[in-house]
Amino acid sequence: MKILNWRVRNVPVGKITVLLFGIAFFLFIAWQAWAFTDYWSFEPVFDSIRNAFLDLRKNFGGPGQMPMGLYNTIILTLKLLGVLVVLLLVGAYSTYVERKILAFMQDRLGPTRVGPRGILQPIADGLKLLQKECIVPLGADANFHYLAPVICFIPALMGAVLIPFGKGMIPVDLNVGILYFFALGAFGELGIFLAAWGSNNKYSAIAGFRAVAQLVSYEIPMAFAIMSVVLLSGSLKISDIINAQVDGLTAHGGLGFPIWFIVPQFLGFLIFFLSAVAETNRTPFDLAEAESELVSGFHTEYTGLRWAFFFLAEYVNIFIGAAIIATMYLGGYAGPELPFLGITLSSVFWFCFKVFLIFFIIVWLRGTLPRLRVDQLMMTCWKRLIPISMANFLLTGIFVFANTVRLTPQLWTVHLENSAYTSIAALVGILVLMFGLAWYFARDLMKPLKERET
Amino acid sequence: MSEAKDFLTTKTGTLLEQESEDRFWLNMGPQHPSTHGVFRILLETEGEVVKNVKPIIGYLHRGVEKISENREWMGALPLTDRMDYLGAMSNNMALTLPVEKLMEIDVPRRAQWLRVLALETNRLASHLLFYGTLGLDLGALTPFFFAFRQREIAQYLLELLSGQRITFNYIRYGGVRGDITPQIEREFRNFISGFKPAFKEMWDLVEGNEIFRSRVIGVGKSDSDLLIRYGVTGPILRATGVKRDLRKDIPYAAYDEFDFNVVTHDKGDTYSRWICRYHEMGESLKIIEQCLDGMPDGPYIKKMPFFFKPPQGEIYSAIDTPRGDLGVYIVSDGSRFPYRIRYRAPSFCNLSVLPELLYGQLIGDVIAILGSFDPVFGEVDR
Repeated sequence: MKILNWRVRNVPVGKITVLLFGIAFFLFIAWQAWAFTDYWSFEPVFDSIRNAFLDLRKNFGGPGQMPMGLYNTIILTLKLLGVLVVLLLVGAYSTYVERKILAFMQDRLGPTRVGPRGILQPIADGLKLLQKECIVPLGADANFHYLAPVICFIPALMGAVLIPFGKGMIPVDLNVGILYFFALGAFGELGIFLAAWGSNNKYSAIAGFRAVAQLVSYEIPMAFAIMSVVLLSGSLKISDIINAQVDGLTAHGGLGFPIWFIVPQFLGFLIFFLSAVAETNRTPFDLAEAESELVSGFHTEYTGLRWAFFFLAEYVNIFIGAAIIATMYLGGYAGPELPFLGITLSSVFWFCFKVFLIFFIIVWLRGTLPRLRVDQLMMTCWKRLIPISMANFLLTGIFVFANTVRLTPQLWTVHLENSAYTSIAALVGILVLMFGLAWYFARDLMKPLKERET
Repeated sequence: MSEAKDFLTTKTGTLLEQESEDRFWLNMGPQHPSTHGVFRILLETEGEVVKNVKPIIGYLHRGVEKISENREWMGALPLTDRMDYLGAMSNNMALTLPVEKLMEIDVPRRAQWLRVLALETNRLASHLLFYGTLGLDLGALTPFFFAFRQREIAQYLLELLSGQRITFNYIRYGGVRGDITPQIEREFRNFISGFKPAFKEMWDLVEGNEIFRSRVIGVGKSDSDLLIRYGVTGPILRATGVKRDLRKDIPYAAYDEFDFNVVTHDKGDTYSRWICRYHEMGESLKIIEQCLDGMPDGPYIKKMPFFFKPPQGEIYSAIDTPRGDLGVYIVSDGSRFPYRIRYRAPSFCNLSVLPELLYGQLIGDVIAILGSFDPVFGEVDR
């Protein structure tokens, strides 16, 4: 009789092991990046690109030359094309990275077949999806069905122009940067709801209702968390928010001392992180595509490239969310000097490192947690996150006000009488008071649907 | 709402009369990722709340009982593997037991111990599958892989014993098909030493998880009166605190020689069912260890002719499978063929109580409760 000779791994893949692996993985990446930057530093490459642009610029704007507007248009087009390529690669390879990390956590191998260590798997997947037929179900609203993946995908791409890939590498540094990101987040919900409605499928419809309720709710704590950061930095602009963390001061305010906002805004960081996970429909908030309940949720009736666009949009959204978290709380592209290494790591490296860290945590959540029920999801938002985020906002306002007074004591009276901070703080105080009173009087109503008994 | 209409479907959905504007019928299954096979359930929902339930079974009906009547007794045995395909050993056991009683065969003691070994290994594999699929139903991926890594080895051990991975046909009239060799015993011991830390790890992964607890505690609460009225048995009944286990109550095979506990829990919700099944795995492990340590010598089967004629008569006996009490009622007219074989399938009886528990739940809980029942549709439809 043939006795199968295969050793079974019984390594306890517990939390600590995963953590250790994560740290080891990051150290490995850091070491690789260090080796890379030591011999072939990124910065000269960027400098040469910058010089090429400056040379090009000499041919524009002067007398008898082409107009400056044309130059700006060319530069913008090049930037956006670069961002597009980067985003599509990131969207495709996020799936690969996620599958590999999940595979490690679940004690298996993940994709191994296409290319060395399965590195070409996303390309194979993409080609496969490209060949598939886009089926429109009978009775579906064909126009909405067609539009939905587009409307999902476009805002994801539009959000990418905000991302600070490195020092001086923000494609479009808008004045209203964070607000723009927030507005695009609301846009993506429309695509999900259109997909749900246009499919003429009851599972999709339920998923659509869930998605709208969830996304609209989770935008509130997210907005409060963003506003707290904006209070600290004094600006909505992405570069200003990073500068406020690196230098401590911006053109519009700031704390006066350099600190990453994760330290004064730890609560805000947690709230924003959870809301971002919920906004991107990831476990444990993946109610809209709850596979075991609603088959595939809003994209049940999608096939081929349209389906692929939903997934691309999802992963690009994760990337953008992680980039915004890194920007607002982890100092963006700034990194420590590491004098003992004798080199300065590229700002691009630090940015990618932080984004990957956030992405790893999101995947880790997926490997660990079950899905919340729909009522628990809403309770988490309305009863936990929103009050906490409001309190956090109030405390931030008070802190910023006190800090401003410390920096400029002569402005005390001015601030007290006519200050944006004071009015905002008063407003939030009233809101918190109202919420507290409502909570107190409606505490019987707000008990969970199913009381815990064991 | 007429009954005939319930099965009619239009091109786009189920044609059922709606009771109000706010409600609609949701057709879940037979092709749905979480119905554990081919179960169809029509849910009338108001928003996410289930207001009416219509379970529909029969998509996997193959007529096992009728086919058995046209085969010899020995030919009826492999058919039982196809009923509860996750606990096929128990099904073999269930059919051999009344036939042996009718023919008054003395089964060798070693054969009885080997039967216990096979039954408990199979129970372990079955509960491991439950552990994994309940995780999947709740949206967690990792428990499935943790469980299936161990289940794979359990299946491999059963393959070593019986030659098959799923449809074992191992427990025969008069004994078992093959003996355990020192090599196989070594593999069993390797499995046990590896399983113990993994078992602990499976507990750590799921039990302390706050989201898991909030998804299962208090969901699908049942009391023992209701369950007994519907004829529900197995871990679902034991989860309400009723200490019913035919391994203890009417010991068959060699179960009276083993030291094990009947696991019960008191709440009767999804969490209790999970706890019961989880701890039953530990008890199974205990029994397997005792089997390996004290395996008696002797023949592993009392030789029987391939065609045999049991005396005229009828007999009912029941055993405890991973899903509940599997009763077998046989009638023999003294010929080579069984006159009638009737199975009382535990999954079928357990499912009958499902509509009572689903009323007023949310859609996500429907899946969780169905998962906690751990039905096998090969057995429900037979």
